[in-house]
Amino acid sequence: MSISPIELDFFSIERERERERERRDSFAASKPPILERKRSFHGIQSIVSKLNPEIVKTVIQSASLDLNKSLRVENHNSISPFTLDTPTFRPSYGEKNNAETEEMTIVFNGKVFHFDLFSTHKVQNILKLAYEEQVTKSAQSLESKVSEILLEQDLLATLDRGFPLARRKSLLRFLDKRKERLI
Amino acid sequence: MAAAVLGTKAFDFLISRSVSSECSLMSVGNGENLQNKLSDLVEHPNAANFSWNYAIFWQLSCSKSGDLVLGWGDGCCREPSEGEESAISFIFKPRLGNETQQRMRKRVLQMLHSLFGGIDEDNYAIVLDKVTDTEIFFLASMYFSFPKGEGGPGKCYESGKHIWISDVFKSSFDFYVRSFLAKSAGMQTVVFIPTDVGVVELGSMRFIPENSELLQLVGSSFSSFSLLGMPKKSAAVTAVTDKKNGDGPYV
Repeated sequence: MSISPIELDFFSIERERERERERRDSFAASKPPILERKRSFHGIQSIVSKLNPEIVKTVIQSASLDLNKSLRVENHNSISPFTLDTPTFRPSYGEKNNAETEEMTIVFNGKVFHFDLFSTHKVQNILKLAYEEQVTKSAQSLESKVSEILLEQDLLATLDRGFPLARRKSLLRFLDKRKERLI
Repeated sequence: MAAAVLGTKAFDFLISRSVSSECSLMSVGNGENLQNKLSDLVEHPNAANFSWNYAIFWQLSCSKSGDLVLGWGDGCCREPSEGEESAISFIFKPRLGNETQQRMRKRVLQMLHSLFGGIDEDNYAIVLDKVTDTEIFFLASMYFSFPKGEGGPGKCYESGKHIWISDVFKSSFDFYVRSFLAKSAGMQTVVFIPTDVGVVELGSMRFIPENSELLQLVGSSFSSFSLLGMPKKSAAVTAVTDKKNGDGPYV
């Protein structure tokens, strides 16, 4: 994966700014502000957007004008560290906000995960996990964590499945831990 | 215990009102919180450097017919640490040749997986290179479910009283259907602690005398209030702090 961050930087940020302005105007509902970690993700996401703009959906919901401003400022700072040191994967995500349910799209390793969430808590969990994974571990464990989260989503979506999902979740976690242990 | 009677009645009431979705909602709320609590018991040794070898939460739910059943909620296990495997446990280990045993274990896991509706793609048994005694016990346990009054968890929940067995090997009463597996895994102490939403099962390869403080702590830590009501962070912190202060049986 070859990356030339300097070029795409401004281009995608420019795009983002346009979109943000649009969203802010059209979305009246205010949701609890998403975590600060988002800012750092925006940097990575701009890189991915250069690689495959059709796949990547990069809508960021801005809770307030201040947050928006700091978002832009943060972009410039966060680009350089991530381009030089980070591993080969580039997680990226976007968030779209409806009045009733929250949707979230995660683009990772060329795969697109889109799902409906029913709580901000879940969103925060996922973002937190993604951030932690990015900082500490490998792409593989992040992928398994994401699939674990997806399974949790299945849990919400199909309430009557009960035990098999609990088991599956436990199994995934067990296998994950095992992998880490053996490595 | 009055709580058990009231708990059951409350659930019966819920069942009569709505079907399994109501019960399933309880499992949804647990997630990370439940896993953290189980992990605390197993992976974070207390001040006396003791931790359980496995912890399972059997979750109360209802079958399609509306009957109460305890099934796999979540669990955590670890491999025995140095010196934990006692001479006694060694006697009860299965004696088949290593390769045969491994093949059989994987086969069994595959079968269980398919039998319980797993799809072939997910069949994890293939990727396991070696299945330890603890692992086969833990993984096989995932497929169990206990209708009211059946098995260790079932009996425990029904009576509302905890069950503490400090000498699994000497115990003549085959207290639960998985006792063979537990013995093979070298568990010496097995404890069942009922709460209003399920049963906590703890196991250790050491001999642990009954500890009422632990019973109380775990019982409240895994109650519906703690698992669903309290904010995640404070509940976990409280449990850990209390446990560490209370110490295990080894002081």
